[in-house]
Amino acid sequence: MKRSTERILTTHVGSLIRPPELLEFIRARQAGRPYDKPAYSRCLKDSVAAIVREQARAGIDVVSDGEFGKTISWSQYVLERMSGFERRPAQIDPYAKGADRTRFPEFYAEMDMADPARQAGSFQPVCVAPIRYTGQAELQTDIDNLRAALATVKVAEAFLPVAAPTSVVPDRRNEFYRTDEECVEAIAAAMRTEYKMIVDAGFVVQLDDARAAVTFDRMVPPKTFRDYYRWVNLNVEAMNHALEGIPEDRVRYHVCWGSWPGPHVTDVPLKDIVDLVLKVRAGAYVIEGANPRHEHEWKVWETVKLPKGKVLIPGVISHATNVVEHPELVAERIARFASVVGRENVIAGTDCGFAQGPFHRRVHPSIMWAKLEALAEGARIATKQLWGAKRPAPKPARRIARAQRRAAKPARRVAKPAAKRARRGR
Amino acid sequence: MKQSTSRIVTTHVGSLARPPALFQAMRALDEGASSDRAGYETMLKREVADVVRRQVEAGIDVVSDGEYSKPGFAVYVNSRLGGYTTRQIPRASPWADSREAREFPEFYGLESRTFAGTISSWSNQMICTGPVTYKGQDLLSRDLVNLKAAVAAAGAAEAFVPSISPIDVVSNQRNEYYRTDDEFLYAVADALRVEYKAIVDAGFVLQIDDPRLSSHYVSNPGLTVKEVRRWAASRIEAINHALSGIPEDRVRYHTCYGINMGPRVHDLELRHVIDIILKIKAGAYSFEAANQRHDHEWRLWEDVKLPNGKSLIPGCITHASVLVEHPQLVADRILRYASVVGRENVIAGADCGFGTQASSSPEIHPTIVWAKFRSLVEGAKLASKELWKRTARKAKAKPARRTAQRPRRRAGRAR
Repeated sequence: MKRSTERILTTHVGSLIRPPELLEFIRARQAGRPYDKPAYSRCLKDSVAAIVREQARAGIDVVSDGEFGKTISWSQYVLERMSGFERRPAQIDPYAKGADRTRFPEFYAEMDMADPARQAGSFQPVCVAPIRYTGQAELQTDIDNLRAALATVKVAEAFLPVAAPTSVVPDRRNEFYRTDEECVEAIAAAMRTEYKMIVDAGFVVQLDDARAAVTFDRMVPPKTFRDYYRWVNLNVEAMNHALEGIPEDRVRYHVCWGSWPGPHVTDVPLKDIVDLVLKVRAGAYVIEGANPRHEHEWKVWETVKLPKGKVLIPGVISHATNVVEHPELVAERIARFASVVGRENVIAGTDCGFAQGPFHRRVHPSIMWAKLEALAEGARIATKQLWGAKRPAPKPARRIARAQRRAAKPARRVAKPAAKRARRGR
Repeated sequence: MKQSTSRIVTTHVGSLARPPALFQAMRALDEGASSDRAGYETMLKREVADVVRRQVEAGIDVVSDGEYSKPGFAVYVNSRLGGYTTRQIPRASPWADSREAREFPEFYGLESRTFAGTISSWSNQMICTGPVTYKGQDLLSRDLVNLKAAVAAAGAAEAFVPSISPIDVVSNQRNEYYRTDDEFLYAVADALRVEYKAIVDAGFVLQIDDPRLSSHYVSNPGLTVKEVRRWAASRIEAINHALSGIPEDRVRYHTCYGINMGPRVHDLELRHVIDIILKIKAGAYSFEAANQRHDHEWRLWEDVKLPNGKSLIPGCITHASVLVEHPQLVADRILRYASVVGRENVIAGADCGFGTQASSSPEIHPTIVWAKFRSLVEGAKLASKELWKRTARKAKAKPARRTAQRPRRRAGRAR
């Protein structure tokens, strides 16, 4: 995995807003209407090439395929890549629960009214047969498309985001395995194929796991924090089985609290689950850090030690507001993280994806790009602060103090030259 | 004006979402569908009492009437000024042809449609055709009486009344009477002075709302920062003219960027106008500081000296995100400001109002606004604990004589 050895690298969480022409095919596919399959394949390949080029242009170092190959959401896409599930119309909307919803019922009623996906009705996936991975061909297409796209651009590295076992087909019911634990293990064993294929293809794999944190809001109360903690721990163990033998250095693990635009007052604090997050056999942890509910949590890393060799990818821009982050704010956030875990252990990222499904978008596409550009600009400013002018690297032990001192200085005086120099260097 | 002498004081920008029934009654009167003014007035008085009580219960120290009687934070003045004829014009997006709309045309194309929720999709174009006078005494005194009763009943520490700046007023109007823009501006300032003075004379803190000072840059793509500075420097003289003789200590000044729920990459930077803003004769300055575009600007105060005796009211919660600020984030923001201007000069506030227009669809759902207020108060408590920690220990050890005059910048540094 590429690290911020000479400058702060940039990345994001993976999903990006799909182009309209691609959505036409996906709409037909989802509705079961006939569509021109070769034309869809060509459109998908071209769209991935274009989105990779756009990321490179915006200044993103570690790019993704935008999750363009997934025709359902970031977590439900697995239904098309795995055997054992059937979809039944849901009696009760599985999303329509949780402590936040209980506390803000009027707000959530309005939010649901405005969401066409929620109006369309809901379904529940039920496990009725043995779970096996069947998505090799689709995954190979994703790998090939991303590889082809990378041939035409210069970026540091590429990653493919996929679902962590916890988040594979969430709100599922199990009618086949003896226990839910067995079902989770079966999912993990199946997903191992996906994770391994991605790493074997030379990409970094990212395990997306909104459900680990979100489940607290859905579970407690009536259950207790201990129950929840035990549940997450069980899922982490299953995930680690799936990751066995895969080099940690090729794995990123993404934790978020759900990207929906709600108050989020019942989000579980990071400090309460950070030990479980760090237990996941990954080389990098991708965690929200740029929204009003989780921005203060950089301080968690003052007391919790990031294990040696691991990387933190905090969100320094957010999907949760249209307002585009000021590059100096991005730099300030990066500097805070650098001051507690060391500059070489920070990659600047985003809170969550910008398009959790093909038809979702958290902000307008033009704003998404403005945000990604602000991310890159902020990383250049932070690089300038953290590395200063070209000088031999300071001794490791002194790096943190130096970063802190630099972080305390006003950013704006150096903003412009830093940008220019960094651009020349690229 | 209440200051953070022994703990961080909390406030907000003034407007809050109107209760649906009050909004309906106001709209019905406005559209002529109802003539029950007495019923509306009774309801208004009751709702103002209720919203003040709720602020006190939430722990807000310096409260407002939520601007409940006003159709909007700026247009309310239309019925309080004389010397105009009006023409109904369609309500347009305030961002039409701005720097923002030029860079994000698709986004702002969508955004302009959301104005349908305001009290009317039409607005009165005010055309000045005679000498400007203040004729809002009755409406204003009704508001002040309602607020005074509400404050007494709820036991609020202090209350403020937002009132619009002459700069904003003339920007929204057309002048066909005065020879020059300056004459018109000063005539409006003279008229508004009546309102300003009445608010202060009634014992309230006056808040001048002046979004135009900051949004003029974004609305006028042809102007450079230098030109906007020149414009602002001459315009604020009219505010000071309207404030002459009113004690600074009873006045706070609020500027912001209009309620723009967009990307806002062209917002004027505070550093470009802060020297001009500080010339306004106010005891406290309220500005945006809790959103992605302005959160970093606390550093400005490392270089800019806040004049003695003045306070800052940085936004610690924002209308720009549905997510409720974590109290610790609120505390962190307060601590940052305290580290650069001193704890006693920081009042924890909000970026902007939460119901700037009487509307069926306010910026943020009211239930979330109250959750944000609770976070603001809790964050201020956390910050107070941190900032007065040493004082508390000292007070135990020695007589508390010296704590009253702690030198500035001694307050615990945030980082």
